[in-house]
Parts: sequence; C-alpha cells; structure tokens
Amino acid sequence: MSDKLQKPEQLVQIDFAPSKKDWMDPKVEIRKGTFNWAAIPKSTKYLDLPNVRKWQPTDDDWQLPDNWKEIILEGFRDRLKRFRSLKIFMDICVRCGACADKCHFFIGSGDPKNMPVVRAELLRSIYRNDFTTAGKILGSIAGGRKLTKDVIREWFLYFYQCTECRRCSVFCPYGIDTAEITMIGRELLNLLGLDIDWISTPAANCFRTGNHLGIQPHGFQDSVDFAIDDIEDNTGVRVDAPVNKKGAEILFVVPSADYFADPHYYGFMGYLTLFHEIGLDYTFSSFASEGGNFGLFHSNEMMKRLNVKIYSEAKRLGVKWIIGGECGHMWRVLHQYMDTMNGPADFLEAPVSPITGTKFENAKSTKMVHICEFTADLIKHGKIKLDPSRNDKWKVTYHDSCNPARAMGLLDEPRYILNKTCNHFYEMPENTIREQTFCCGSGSGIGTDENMEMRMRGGFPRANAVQYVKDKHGVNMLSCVCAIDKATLPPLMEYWVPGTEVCAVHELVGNALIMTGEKDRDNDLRGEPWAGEEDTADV
Amino acid sequence: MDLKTFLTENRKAILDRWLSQIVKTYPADSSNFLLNNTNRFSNPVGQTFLREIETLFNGLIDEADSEAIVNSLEQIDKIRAVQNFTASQAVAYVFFLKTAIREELDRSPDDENLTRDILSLESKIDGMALMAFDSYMHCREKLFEVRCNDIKRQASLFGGPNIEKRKHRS
Repeated sequence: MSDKLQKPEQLVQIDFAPSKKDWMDPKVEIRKGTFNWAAIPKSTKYLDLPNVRKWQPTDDDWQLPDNWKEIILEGFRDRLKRFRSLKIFMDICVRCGACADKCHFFIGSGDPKNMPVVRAELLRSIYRNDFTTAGKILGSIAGGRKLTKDVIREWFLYFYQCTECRRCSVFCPYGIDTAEITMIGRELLNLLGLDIDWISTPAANCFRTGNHLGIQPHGFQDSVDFAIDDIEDNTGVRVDAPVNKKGAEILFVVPSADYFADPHYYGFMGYLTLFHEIGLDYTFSSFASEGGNFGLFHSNEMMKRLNVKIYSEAKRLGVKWIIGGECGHMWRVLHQYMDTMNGPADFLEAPVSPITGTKFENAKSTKMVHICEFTADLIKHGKIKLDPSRNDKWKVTYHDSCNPARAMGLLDEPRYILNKTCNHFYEMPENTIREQTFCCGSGSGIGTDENMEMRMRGGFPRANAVQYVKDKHGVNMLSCVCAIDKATLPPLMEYWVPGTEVCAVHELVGNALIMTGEKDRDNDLRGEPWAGEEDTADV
Repeated sequence: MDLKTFLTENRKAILDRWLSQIVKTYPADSSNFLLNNTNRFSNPVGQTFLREIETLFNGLIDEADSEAIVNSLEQIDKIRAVQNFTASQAVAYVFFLKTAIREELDRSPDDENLTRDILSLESKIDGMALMAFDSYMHCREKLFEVRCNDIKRQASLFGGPNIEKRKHRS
C-alpha cells in the first residue's frame, strides 16, 4: 500500500489510471515494505567496503562520494573489460519480449520495470550513453540515458527487486542471464557504499566465523549435540555426528539455518539419521559451517572470499570428497563458479559412494555431490529401509528451488526420493515447476521482514500454484531443498495459502527411515504423532 | 425489461468493461499482459480478477450469500493489498462495476424500469464496496501479522526450534 494518503480534493478527481511515464524516467518512489534496510557500518567496515557510513534508503541524501559518477563509470568500464558475458549481454538483446512476462516480480506487481528486459535496460541505457559511439552522439534516440543520482536510486530499488532466479533466462533466445546483469548492477552500487544489511551482515559474519549467523565453533558443536539428543529422544538411537574429524572420507557442508532454524532443523535431523544408518564415514567442519554464500548477492570478489573455506577445510581435514546439504544458491556457486574460482581441487578424489560404489561422474570436477543425488542413489540400490506410510498425514508437493533446478539441473532426484518416502506426492502445474519453477520471491538476500510487501508480490505466482494443488489434492506440505525457501515460504504460505506447511526433503526421509535398533517410534521428527494417531495421542 | 434480464443478457459486455477498467489501474505495458494472457499460472493476477469478478457479478444478480461475495472480494484484495496502491485505489475496482453497467445502459434504449432499478443495484454495489474495504483491511492486518511472525521466527534462530527442550536440558 502506498504511504501517501490522498487529499479530499484529489479523491474527487477520480482517475485511477497511473501516469503514462516512460520507463526511461528514472524517478522512483522509495516506499516502506518494498525495500531492504541499508547495511550497518559495523558490517561494511568489517568487510573493508567503501564509503562506510550510517544511512537509509528513505534519506534524501544518500551521502554518495563526491566523485560517485566517476566511480560508477570506471567500475562499469572495468567490468566490461573483465567479463565478456557482460559486454555480450549489453550488446546482444533484440528486445524480442520473450522474457518480459516471465519474472515473478512483474507477474505479481504489474510494474513494467520488473520485466527482465527493462531491468537490463536500466543498466544498458547507461552503457549505450557512455560506452557506445551511437549513444554518445544520439543520446536518448539511441536508447541512452544520462547517469544521474535518480538513476542510482532506481538501480538500488530494482536490482534489489530481482532474486537472481534466472527464470527469464530460460526463455531468452540469446541466453542472456539477467541474474548476472543484476549481479553487476549490485556490484556497481556497492562501489558507492549502497549495500543492504541482509547481505552485508551475514557476509561479515561468514567471513569472521564461517557461517551467516556468526556461530562460533563451540556453538556449532552444541547445535550438533542438541540434534543428536533430539534424535535419540525421537528414535531411541544415539547417532554419531563427528565435527572436525581428520581423515574422514567425506566432508559434509550444510547451510547454517539447517542446524538452527525451523523447519530446516528437522531436515538436519534427517541427514544425521540417514548417515548413521548407512555407517557413513563423514565429518562436519566447524569453520566451513555454512554452505550458503551471500557473497554471491554482493560481488564476484565477496563470493570468492566466502567460498574458499570449503576447499581449504576439505584439505585441512584430509577428506576424499564433499557432500553438500539442502541449500539453494550454494549450489549455483558450487556448480558454476567454485571450480574455476577456488579450484582445481586436485587434492580430492572423484566422488564414489562408499555404500553403493556409484561414481558421481557429474561431480568429477568439483568433487562435491548434492545430498539428494547421494540419497536417491542409496534408495535406488535398496540400501535403506523406508516406510512411506509414516508420512501419510502429509499430502506433499515439491517446490523446485531456483538454483538447484536451473543452475545445476537437479530435477529428478528429489522427486525420486519423495516418491519413495511418501505415499501422497502431487506435482504442481507444468509451467510452474522444474526449469520453469517460480521463485519463492525472497532469494538473493532480499528475504527480510521490512521487504514483506514486495516478497508477497514476488511469491504470488508460486503460491498460486500451491493453492491449485491444495484445492485439487488437499496438499498440506510444501517440500523443498533450499534454506532460503524454508525460511521464506512459511510466511508466503501464511499470507496466500494458509494451512500449508513447509519441509525439507530430508525431513521426510528421516521420518520414513527404519533405523536399526530404533524404539517403537510414535512421533515424527517434529515430535508430532504419525498420521491417524493425532486423536489418540493424549489418551 | 427488468434489470436482472438486462444484466443477464449483457453479462459478457459488462464483465469485459469491468475487467478492462481494473487492469487500466496498472501501467499500460502491464495491462495488456493482465488482460490477454489467459493461463492462470502464467498470469495469476489477471486470471484471478477475471474469475472473481464473474463470481461477484453473479452474486449480485442472484443475491448470493455474503460468504461467497466476501471470499471473491478477498481473492482480489489480497493481491491489491500488496501492490502499489493507496487503500482507496485498491478497493476502487468495486465502483468500476457501476461505470461498466452505466456504459452498457447508455447503449440500450431508454427504459424507465431500468433507471429506477439501477438505483437499488448501485446501493448494493456500495455495500459490496464497504465489504471490500473490510476485506482489504483484513489483508493488510494479515500482512503485518505475517511480518511479526517472521520476526519471531528470525528471533528463534538464536534459540533453535526446540528452545524449550534445550533450556530444560541445560
């Protein structure tokens, strides 16, 4: 809702059509509910970022450096030289419009500046004006715009209204990756000290302790110990979950929310029960205690700084290969950047499952396997016993988290697992899943409470598809494999599709898993009774 | 001709006018998309409007129970409550039905019965607008409730989901 109330005389002149502003007009209204708070100086200082100061997007004066224009143009020039993809994306678009109606923020808001083509034009127009001969001579006739402070405000608003989900890129005939355009837009903004807090503070924490929440090694160990106790309460089995064990075969890296947040934690319990049951020789690292990498949402350099800990901890602990947990953007970093950014990891071996002997050829280069690939392989080879009826109270659907789906092609493994661990699994409509999946609307560091109105707009296409399967099949559980999804889908469901819970795929695995020596389990990993036992639970 | 017959016979034309006015509250580049993309998953906003205004219109003609009307209003208000609208702009879509009917009436021959009945129908639409405002407020309150719950959820990050059990153990 707009902050500005209309005066009575304005109400009399009823005209509800919006003003016919061209997209080239950079003036924007910065309204509460639709932006993220600025980074706090403590975090930006910790990360050695430029122009450290206290400011907010609602301020009239953003306290930009005096030479702000020079900084942006020089930063742009530098990136055009360094990143060939950026140069191509700036030149190649023919404005065919294939991407225009594919963005969840455009679909949910009806704001044309959220059309991916226009979002790219916000940057491209400056490129044309200052870096092409036609633009330098013809200016706006050639699609150029002058770089002004209003453009900077517009960039700030719209490059933080993109979740870098890359749905638009699926439809672009030239393969323009709008996420990379947003990444460059944010990098340029960061040169002026225009960072947001939900990216900078987790990144600073991660740089300091290895995870977004700033949990120190003893806190990490405590969390693992609590999970071990909870599993014992629930199953009667005391599992082993080693931390910093040198010489283990496998390093296991998870997003930090897995061992602290709800509902992630139940998936974490699921991993631990599974690894115990198959007798896996693995270890956590209390320093590589975060798979997620908020550096991806900040800059190329920040992503590299935060990612380096995974290979260095693998080396320190002397493992052979790595398994990664249920995380979203972590997998974009691992699958598309890590190998060339911090690799090659030639001190590791190509991953081979010690239980099934399966060689994970797809991970031969990065040496890192997704937990769903690993679990699906176990199930396929009959290495674990499952009782899917334990999940009978859930009618489950699956949200393809953007990055595992589109950045690494993880489409079938989670579905295979769900079909083996649940009796009631229903797909959402075709154009809302797999490669075409709709984003949760809160990825890439914008999932904050102050941005809730924008998140609800962006998440509407996803919620609308969930509502459809809820109406048709009675779906009451939305499963996913991304920590940001698990944090942001619950509020989305609360607003749009009440009565729908959110879970990790490995929570359902942990429920269905029949463990050797388990007690007569009467509760699921949430401590709630199995299906059909709710009514008698208190008797 | 009585008003009910007029509305029934001109249902499609009136609904087209109504929807067209609603989508015009969005920028021109977007209103074409909202109007013309007929896939309910690719264009959930436009298709929700299309579906729910028909329910509202039918409810008005057939004097449906208020629960069905409130439900349809809420489907639309839920969307407009999180978009770039003031409260008055968000619920104005109900009044657009008056304009749509009047414009369609202008194309018909004068009929005294219709003119008399239309006043009573417009009172009903006014009532619907008040219900829409209640529904809009409900959505805004829900939005802030969701935000509060999200903050609580974030706060629990520092205690974990089983905080009570943990306190007990320690």
